[in-house]
Amino acid sequence: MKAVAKVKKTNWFKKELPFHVMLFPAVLITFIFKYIPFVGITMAFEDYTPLKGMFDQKWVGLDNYKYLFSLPGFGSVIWNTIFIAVMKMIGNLIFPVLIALLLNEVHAKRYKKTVQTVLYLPHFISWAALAGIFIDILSPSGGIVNQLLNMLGMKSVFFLGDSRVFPYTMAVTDIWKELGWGTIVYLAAITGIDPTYYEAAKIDGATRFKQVLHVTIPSILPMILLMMVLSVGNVLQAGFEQVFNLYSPQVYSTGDIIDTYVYRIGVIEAKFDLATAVGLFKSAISFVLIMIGYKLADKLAGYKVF
Amino acid sequence: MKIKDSFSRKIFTVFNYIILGLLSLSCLLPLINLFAISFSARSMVDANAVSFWPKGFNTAAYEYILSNKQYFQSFAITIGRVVLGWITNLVLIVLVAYPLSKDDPRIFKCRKYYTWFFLVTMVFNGGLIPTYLVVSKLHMINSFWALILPEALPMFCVLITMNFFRGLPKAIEEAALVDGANWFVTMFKIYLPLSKPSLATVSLFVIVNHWNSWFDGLIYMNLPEKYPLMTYLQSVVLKFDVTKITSEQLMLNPKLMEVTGRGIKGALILLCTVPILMIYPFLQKYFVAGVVMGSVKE
Amino acid sequence: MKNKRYLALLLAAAMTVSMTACGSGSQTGSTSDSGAQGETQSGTEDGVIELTYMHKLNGTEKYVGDDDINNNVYTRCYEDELGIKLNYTIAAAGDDYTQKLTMAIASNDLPDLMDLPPEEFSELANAGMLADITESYETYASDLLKETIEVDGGIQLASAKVDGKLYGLPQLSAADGTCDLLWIRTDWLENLGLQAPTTMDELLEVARAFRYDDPDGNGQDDTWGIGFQKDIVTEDGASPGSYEGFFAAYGAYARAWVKEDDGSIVYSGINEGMKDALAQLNQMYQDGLIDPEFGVKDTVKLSEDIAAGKVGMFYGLEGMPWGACKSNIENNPEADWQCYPIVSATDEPAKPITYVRISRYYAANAKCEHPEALVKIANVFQDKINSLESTEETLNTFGVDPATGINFAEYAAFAMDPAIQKCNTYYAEIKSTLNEETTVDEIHPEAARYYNVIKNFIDNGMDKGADSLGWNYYKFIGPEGSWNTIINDYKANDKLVQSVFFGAPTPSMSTNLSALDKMQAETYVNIIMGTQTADSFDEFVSNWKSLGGDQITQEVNEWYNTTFGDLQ
Repeated sequence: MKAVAKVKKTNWFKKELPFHVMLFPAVLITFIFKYIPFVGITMAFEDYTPLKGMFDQKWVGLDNYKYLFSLPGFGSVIWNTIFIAVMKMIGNLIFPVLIALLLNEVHAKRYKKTVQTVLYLPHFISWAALAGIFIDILSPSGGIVNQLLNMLGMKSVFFLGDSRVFPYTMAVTDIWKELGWGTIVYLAAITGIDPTYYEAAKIDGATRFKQVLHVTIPSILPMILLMMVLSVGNVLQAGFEQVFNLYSPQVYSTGDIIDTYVYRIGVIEAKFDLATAVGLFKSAISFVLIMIGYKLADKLAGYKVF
Repeated sequence: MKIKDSFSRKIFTVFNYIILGLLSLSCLLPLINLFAISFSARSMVDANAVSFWPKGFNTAAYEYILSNKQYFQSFAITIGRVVLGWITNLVLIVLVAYPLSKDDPRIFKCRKYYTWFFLVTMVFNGGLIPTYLVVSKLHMINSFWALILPEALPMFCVLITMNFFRGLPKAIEEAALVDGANWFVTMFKIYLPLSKPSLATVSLFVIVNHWNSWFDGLIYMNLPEKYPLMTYLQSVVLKFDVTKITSEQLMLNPKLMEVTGRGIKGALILLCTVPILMIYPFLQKYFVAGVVMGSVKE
Repeated sequence: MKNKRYLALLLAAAMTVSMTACGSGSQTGSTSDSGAQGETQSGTEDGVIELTYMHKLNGTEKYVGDDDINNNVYTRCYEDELGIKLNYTIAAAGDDYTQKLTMAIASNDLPDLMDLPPEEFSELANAGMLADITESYETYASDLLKETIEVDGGIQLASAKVDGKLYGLPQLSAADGTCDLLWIRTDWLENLGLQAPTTMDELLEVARAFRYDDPDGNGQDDTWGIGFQKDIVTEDGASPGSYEGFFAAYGAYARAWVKEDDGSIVYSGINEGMKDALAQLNQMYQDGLIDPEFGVKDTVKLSEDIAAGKVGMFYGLEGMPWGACKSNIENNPEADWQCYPIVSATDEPAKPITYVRISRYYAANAKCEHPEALVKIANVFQDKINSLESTEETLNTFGVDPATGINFAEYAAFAMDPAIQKCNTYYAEIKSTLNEETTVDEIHPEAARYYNVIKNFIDNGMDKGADSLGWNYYKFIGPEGSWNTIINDYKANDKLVQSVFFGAPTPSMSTNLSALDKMQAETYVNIIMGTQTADSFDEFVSNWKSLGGDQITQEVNEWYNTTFGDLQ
């Protein structure tokens, strides 16, 4: 009995050994660069002084969180994050669907292909470079966008310097950047629709518009739904690279998001404990949201992410 | 199929073409504007007279940048990290995606644990400082590897590749296994040749990612001369007026009169982005397929 | 930036004259270098000490040929003359430097020599992580270095001490150059037949005329009465468009810690006079004298307006001829600017505020075996740049390179910037040379350089359209220059008030000050724009006090007494 079990176990192990070997390098690297730094999470519960060693710190429990939530500015940081992120989520959901539907109505192949290629372009530009571009074209004095506005008889808008406008600038520029990229999945879904549905609709006398309404949209609805639930985890992802490169102290009141806040208090002001506490707070909430999203994807669309 | 289009249909088609055309323009014009500014004379730029075509054409801004060796240093570092990073990423992605694509528990029992092990890192991390401490203790500050190893396993790409592997027919592999091939052989001989489209997609993603990353360079590189191109662009050019030219310098080199800060910044942005923008149109069919396969995020 | 721009220029100009070639090695200002050289006994085998260094860059450095940060005219000089091989291990500009410093502290990976912002300096000094350089300073600092650093009677040096021990060398800040002047378009005054204002009422009259009486005579309603930019609560001398000169008319300042007659130190941003000042600004805003968009205009935007001839009056620092005004002259040779002493709204004369701003301290790691290297390196810049004995050749080597326009002075590890300190001297030297009391050969080479440009400008009929640089120098350090006003009006009449706090942020400042500053800035802007009444100022004052302001005030007083207890 014992011997049999042993043999089985060895076989099983031997059979799977190549997999373990393949995974080993990645496991090692992930362990070193992702798991060892987890030790740092303890800083969230300490009164951390960098000059003392990692293990000589004073444990303060949840005091950092109490302090954070007592700060007058922290609430607005969370609000800014959610506000900007949700605007982006909604925009990044609706506009790509619309554009995909419009693109699908283009029958000139070359035109369609060109438009697609051009719309993908912003996706490939780093925020570091895009920020430089936006700072120039959105400048209230001499930027091309404001020149256009002035030509149309409108006043210049300080898109990046006016705290009332800044969050919308963030949302619009991000939606613009990902617009073309987002259409890819919907175009694929539309291509996959069984042509007989359209034939049937035509026989029923449906106009092209009705066909879109009654065939195309319902057919890609599962995809839209899937994208929606999967994006639930992004509620706290307002886009560090974008905001970091475009914001300035005068728009902190509406433009400071969790990630930029963590960067400033952690790296510039050297308050590692608070920065870690905020980061952990964000990770925890994001984790829950992502799990909810994945579960919903499984339940509603039968889609398993992993 | 050739039913006569109704009048409203024609109107719609025209509008549709116009709307899509305008959208495309919105993606191109900012770059064209920048292009025009970078080649224009100072007086024209200062007067806000430049829109989409250079006025008072000159190349002073480009000469100014290319006379500074920092651009070339950073360019070389970026090329280095793209190549090394691409190889590292690709090897690890395949080595992880392949075993994890074996979702039959009878074949790979431990898959579940590995999956969790990797997925957790997508959401949780120890934060910037602890990661920095690890990199620093490994003496990787100021080295290429700091830009490559900490993010050596891009999970999004793993998921794409894994889903692709899953979609491949299993029969050939099973036949090969019966013939005595082991998993390494099947991976190299059967899966990899079939996965070219997926690997092309993933390659594009990791190359673009390495080209465009700037934050890691900012954190792990302690001297500007070690900055990759995007970090140089982000931290030196956008934040500081490297283009600030004193009147002393002007007296000594009147040619500088011809350039403006805007022109120089525009030129540098173009010099940093155009190389990567040249690549993607050629890989379009691959990445479209890849995104659809791995349509998990964004 | 702002202020630093002309500082750098001035420095660059300074470079172009004095200092001996590095290789020649004959220092005049001091003997300590050669003395020090003999004592590099504990170095490596060839007598060269290798030290790592962390340096904050300006962000504008450029290198020629094979030079780089670790191999340039200054590093070679340190190695050849002092036997010190400096290895830059960390270098960045702006916030990026703070980030790298934070990381270095976090990983306990600090180099031998460091360039530290005040907060980190005080933190590390108190934690015992910096080397005590009291002895090194006494032994190795050249006379010239001591003279430069202690020009203010040792006040700034005192801020680098903990318990009487010296832990670093402060990057000097010259208070004189930080006071506001009133800059006015004199051609507009002439067009309208007005005199330069000497009281607040007259200033308002001029502002009104500049706004509504078409001072540029172009028939268009396109001018503002007085220019302001958006940053009200800033210590950084946001110029042009500063507010401190205006507030001073009411005996208040936005950002100053002022010593009262009883010896206590109070924050002037909550001063009662401020309420009247803000109410007056609100009135001006309502009367349309101020650009309603001032709240989004930074100094750059305001400079553009000035250059475009839309603004005829503003408060600003001594260096204004270098920037917007010069551009204005270049765009329109008819334009002319002159600075005047600030005006008062009360019977008391207006007193401009000056700030000492130590941006950084140079310090050595407690683990460093050669902390004296710090002082030796600091000597070099003084001996090369600040010394009276210099040649044109050295200048080209260490200063602005005529071929490329690159400013080598930016490579210096520790540049104790003497520029503004020297303005007082240079002004006097230039003046006496213009009056033919001295000759060009007798004065400092750097002053001589300015003198030549000014003299040339005067001799050629003061044609500012043709020689805007000449105009520039003339209005800066010439007979009608900003330094003329500072020296012959402000200083001669003992008008300058100094903000006495300039140390590292106190504990309460670290936690509360950013919120308080935000509240202060918002209150000020809201009162000026009329979204809050002037009376809400009182509420702000009580909030400021209760939200940590009182605590900060107490800490500032303690800091002052411990730091300067000995000096008094």
